[in-house]
Amino acid sequence: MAIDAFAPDTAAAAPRVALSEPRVVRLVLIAVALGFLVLFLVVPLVVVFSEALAGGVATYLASLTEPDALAAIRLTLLTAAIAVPLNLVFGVAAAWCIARFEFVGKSVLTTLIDLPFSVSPVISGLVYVLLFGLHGWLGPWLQAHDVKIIFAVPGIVLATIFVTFPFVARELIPLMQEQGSEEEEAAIVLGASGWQTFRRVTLPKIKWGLLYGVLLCNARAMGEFGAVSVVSGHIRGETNTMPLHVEILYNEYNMVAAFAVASLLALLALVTLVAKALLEWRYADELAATRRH
Amino acid sequence: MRIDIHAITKRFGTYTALDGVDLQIGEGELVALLGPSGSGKTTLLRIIAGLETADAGRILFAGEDALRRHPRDRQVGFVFQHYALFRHMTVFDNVAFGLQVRPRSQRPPKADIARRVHELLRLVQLDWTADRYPSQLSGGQRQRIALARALAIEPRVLLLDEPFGALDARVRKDLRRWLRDLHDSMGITSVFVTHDQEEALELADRVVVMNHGRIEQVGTPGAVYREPASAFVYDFLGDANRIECLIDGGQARLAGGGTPLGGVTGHAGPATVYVRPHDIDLLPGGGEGTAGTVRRVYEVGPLVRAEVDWNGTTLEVALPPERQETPLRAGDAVRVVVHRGLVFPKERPAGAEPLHLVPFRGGAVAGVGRRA
Amino acid sequence: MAGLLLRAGSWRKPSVLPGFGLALGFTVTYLSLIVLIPLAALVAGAAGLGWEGFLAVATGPRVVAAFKVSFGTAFVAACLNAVFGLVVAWVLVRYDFPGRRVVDALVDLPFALPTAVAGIALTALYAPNGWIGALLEPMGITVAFTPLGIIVALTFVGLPFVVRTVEPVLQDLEAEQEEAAAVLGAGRTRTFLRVILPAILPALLTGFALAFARAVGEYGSVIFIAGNLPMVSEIVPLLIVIRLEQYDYAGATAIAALMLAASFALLLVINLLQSWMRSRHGH
Repeated sequence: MAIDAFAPDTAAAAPRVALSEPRVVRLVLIAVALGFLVLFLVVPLVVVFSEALAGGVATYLASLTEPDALAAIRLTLLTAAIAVPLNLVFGVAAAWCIARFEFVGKSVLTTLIDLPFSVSPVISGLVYVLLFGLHGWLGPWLQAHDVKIIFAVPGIVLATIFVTFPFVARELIPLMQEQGSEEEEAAIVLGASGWQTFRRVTLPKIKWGLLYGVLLCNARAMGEFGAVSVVSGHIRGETNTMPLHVEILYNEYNMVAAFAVASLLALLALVTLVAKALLEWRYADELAATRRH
Repeated sequence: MRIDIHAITKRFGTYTALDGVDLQIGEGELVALLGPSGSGKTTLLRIIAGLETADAGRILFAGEDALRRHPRDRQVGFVFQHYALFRHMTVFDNVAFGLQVRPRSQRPPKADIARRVHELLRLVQLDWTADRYPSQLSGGQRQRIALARALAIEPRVLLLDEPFGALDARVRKDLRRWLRDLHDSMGITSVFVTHDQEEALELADRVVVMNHGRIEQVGTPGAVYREPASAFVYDFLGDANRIECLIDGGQARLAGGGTPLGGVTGHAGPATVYVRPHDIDLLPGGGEGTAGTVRRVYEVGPLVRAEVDWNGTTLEVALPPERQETPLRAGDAVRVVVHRGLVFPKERPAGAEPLHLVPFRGGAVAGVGRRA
Repeated sequence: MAGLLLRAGSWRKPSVLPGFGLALGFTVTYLSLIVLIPLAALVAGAAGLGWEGFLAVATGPRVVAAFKVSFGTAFVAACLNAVFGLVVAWVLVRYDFPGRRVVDALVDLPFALPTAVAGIALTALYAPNGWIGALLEPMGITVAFTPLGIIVALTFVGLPFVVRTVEPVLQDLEAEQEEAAAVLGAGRTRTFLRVILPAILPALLTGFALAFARAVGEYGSVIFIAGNLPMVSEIVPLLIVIRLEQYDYAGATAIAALMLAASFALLLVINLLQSWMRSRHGH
């Protein structure tokens, strides 16, 4: 009898009979999926922490507290602290005009906002070198006025803003489009001013979506490598962000130190994933439909 | 407050949503804007509220130009089709919103706001929901909260967009009566949009029937139902049979032959006779020229409906209760008696009014028109 | 007065909501300063080389080889992701097993993990003395420092795309359709091939294209594991960096412009696929 093949996995969830595969097929598929994910996601993650702690906890902590590592951590935090709020304000402004108004050129604008995602990170850095570098369009003028952008912090911040540009906007636009304008219209008819409408009606509706976008934006801002690498100049203690510092240590065969700094970034990634999962689970209704699953 | 609407026109691209609409709404009236989707009724409502701008025309609130005012300052209560309750605020905060956002100088003290909100919640019989969120309420409850919120700002006019559209049939009926009572006790000039003719006829003081951005007819429910100004209004306000015919010498000659319908006045020429299903009677036994064949009989609650093949036209007939004692069966031959109908000429007489209306009275067979 | 302000020009539909001018002004200015002007500088720089100069760079053997490596490895990685991504999405949507939620959340790891970290971790794993490399070595398979290593890194970075585009479509698939197929006598395999697969095909292709586009431009995770041997395992983004470090701005600009053109072409394809997907599923 084939009854066993259709037996539900759990008593609670009785799958529709016509929709289930034989048990063997199910088990094989689950095994393939999990095997693939373990091989490509879990093992690399484990190896980061294992290599980082290969020299013991003391060495691990020493690698994190040496001055160049601390400088890299500071620069990474500073970069994110500038790039994320700017892109947050941009994201809200962009979503407000795209999701709340009808105007000519709207779809072009929407496409342009996503542009940085389709550009190689190396090119994201390169464009600023071409603009502000010594041989760039504005290079001579900048040098004459003693302003350093490339191989300095401003270049790193600019490149980071570029690669994290769409995160908040692309989360908010579908969310606000889906929510529609009726509540805002209701607020206006009830006598609320524009600012009151935004602060008391719009903002509370989008706050979790906003946080979601900020979370992803921040993870990318702190972890960006390619774009920042091109504009940084790799000056230890000055223009090295954490990912760049990892590269330098790795190339110097200082594996423990490289993986120690990398483990901090991996931790950031894990925290981001947990926070993201919590948001998706707890506030599914207040995230854009594309984020719900 | 009196509302005067003059020649309001609105286009969306090449599509004309409103085409020179004129309408006067009297103080304290409850008016229904009735029409199919795309007739412009919701657009008109949103223009009155200021949520949409008109391309041309004027709207006067108590004689004063309303279009110059921002919707914020129009003192309009608007109930949205899907309520548009602020989902992250409690019911209390939803109702209080309009008072809380007033400029500091005009804002009532907190205690007054609370008192007013609870008054309104009692009015809509939902005082116990103050601390709940909209998502915890049923559709009918949300409806009433949306109404309370709109009333909080003491509106001079109340506008409701498909107020019962999203509710199931039972709740809709209850809420309809309740809204009528509420209107009678408060007397705020109110306009509501609906596509449901029964709702409009039951609830409104006057019904405005709209089609393709124009007003087809304005009148009391009784007037628009009994004396529809156009074939569209007749058709929209209830089920109708259409019978093609030729008007000649006070008679309507049916396209399919048979005895002409008598008692018709008006212009000669091709026309369509519109007949309501309950204005047709079926008598036992066929006769020359009036014979029909019953195709199908079905019961809808207390009513018995029949489809009858009559000279090539399929008629929909609703049988009166007293006729149900001698049950009909499919295949029966019957005598068809048309008690009442309206004749709409196909060709407009040159120079005459747009649509010449010819009321038609009389049965197909003289002397049988019991209810005519 | 306020009412008059609502009457805007014909290029936008009037609305009662405020702040359009301010929001749009800021959006366009910021977009121009951060994205459009810098990208325009790149295009202008490439145009400044002239057709001859541009071709000279673009047809150089090392450049052609790099493009072959980048697109070839990206294609293989995207194919792997399409197959395994579909299995992962299927399992996550259709089956219940312990830890399903955790697995679901973990799929996004490549989005969250900095590419440099992924790069050194994968290198450590697949190096001849690494956990996996040591297993493969006796079989004569070398992953690290070969194009195979690039494929591994690109499979990692592209992993979430297929899963995340297919998942919602699979979720919204009406069970009735499959039941109808079953009632009409189709077996499970037939139902999958004739009913399910056609329904998710647009999403699958979109996910494939997204993974491919991401892989083509990827830099951080690849350079550690690739070995970066010119003509063999050197990817285009790395070649741009190398030219830049040699102060060969013209060369870097020309290669980057080519890459940019390829990215835009891919973006166009993805947009078309997505509108196809929307017309199918409404999202």
